[in-house]
This record gives sequence, structure tokens and C-alpha cells, in this order.
Amino acid sequence: MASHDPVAGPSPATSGRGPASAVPEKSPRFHFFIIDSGWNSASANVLRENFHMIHEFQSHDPLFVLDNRQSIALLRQYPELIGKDPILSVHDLHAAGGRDPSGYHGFRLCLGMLHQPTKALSALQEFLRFVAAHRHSPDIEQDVRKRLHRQGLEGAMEVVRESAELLARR
Amino acid sequence: MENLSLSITMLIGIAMAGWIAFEIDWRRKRLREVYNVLESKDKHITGDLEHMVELGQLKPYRGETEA
Repeated sequence: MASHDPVAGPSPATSGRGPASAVPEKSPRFHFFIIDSGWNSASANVLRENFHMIHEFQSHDPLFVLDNRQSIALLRQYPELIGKDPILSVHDLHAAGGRDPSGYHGFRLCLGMLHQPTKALSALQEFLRFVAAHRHSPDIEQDVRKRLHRQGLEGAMEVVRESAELLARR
Repeated sequence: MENLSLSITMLIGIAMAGWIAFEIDWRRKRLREVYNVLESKDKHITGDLEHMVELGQLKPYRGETEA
């Protein structure tokens, strides 16, 4: 497999061209990670083609891009995530309770689970919109859970509506 | 005959309710596979990522791309 960075050419970490000493002046709220092992999939292409938009919209916090080699090495350790990448993982460094022994706080978007480009782009946009809108929230994880709960209810309503339509056609 | 008709209607109703429950559950799981909040089972991978940052294996991306 080619060792190029799937997102933006060679990784700044490995290319030596990244300004390694450029540490954000203020303590960042989030760490963003992009894990992309290099699948030739619609969602991966959406991520690569819109990578600059991610960088533009979350410029407040560090964005770490794993290259092919790093992504594959990581996914080999956590095979349950193979095929779910590209993954955008957001770690909340200021979460209530801090980094307790239960692990880091945050959330992630597994774009690889979406097979249609329009859905992948929509999910990416919604994800960035959500992070931007809730970046000052004292408990963004709770906000994510509420959002998922609401989306779950909307999904249930959609199923019921589809069922009713199916019955009506008969 | 009436009993048979009633039974068939009930069976269709039960099957429909089962399908709705299955579909809702499937969509809920699917939603959580796409978006999820990090949990204790994710502590190792999140810890590994942060460790890579601490070791300097990952640097903040600043927008440099191949010409």
C-alpha cells in the first residue's frame, strides 16, 4: 500500500515540513484526530476533497492527521474499527471530571460507515457545525447524547411513517 | 372463516410491529456506529492517540499540502 497521507499528502508529522514548534498560545479545548487508512471509498474521498474545510472550521484547536502507516498500525491494534475509517475523533481536554481512569472524554464520527457521498458530506458538515456551535458548552458529551437521542426519535418516527405509507399503498 | 380472518390480521399486525421494532433498533445502532461518544472501552485508542502527540509522532496540522 502506498505510504502517502490519504488526506493531505505526506503527514506533517513525518514530512518534517510542519511547524512542530507552533504550539497554540492558549490551552486548546479539543484535540482533533483524523484516522484514514486509505480506503478507496466514497466517504474517504469526501473527507479528502473537503479536508481544507475541516481545517478552516476548526482552526481553534489542534488537528492531528495520521498518515496511512500510522492509521493502519492503529487499526491493526483496534480491528473493530477497520472499515469504519475515515474517523474524526474529538477529544475534549476540558471535560468535566478531566481525564479520569475511565478514559478520555470526547466523541467521534465514523465516516466509513456511510456509503453514499451525499450522506457522508452531510454528516461531515453536521459534525463540524455541531462542534462549532457547542465548542463553549460545559458538557459537550451531554449535548452529543441529546442530539443522538433526538435523531433516534426522528428515526423512529420515520420508520412509523414509512410503515403507515406501506400499509396505505396496500 | 371470521376467526381465520381475525387470526391473519393479528399475525400481520404482530409481524408489522416486530418489523418496526427491528427497524428502529437497527437504525439506532447504525446511528451510534456513525456518531458515538467515547466510552471506557475507547480509553486505549484515545490514550494511544494522545500518547502519539506527547511523543511528538503527531504534530498539529497547519495547512501545508503538497504543491
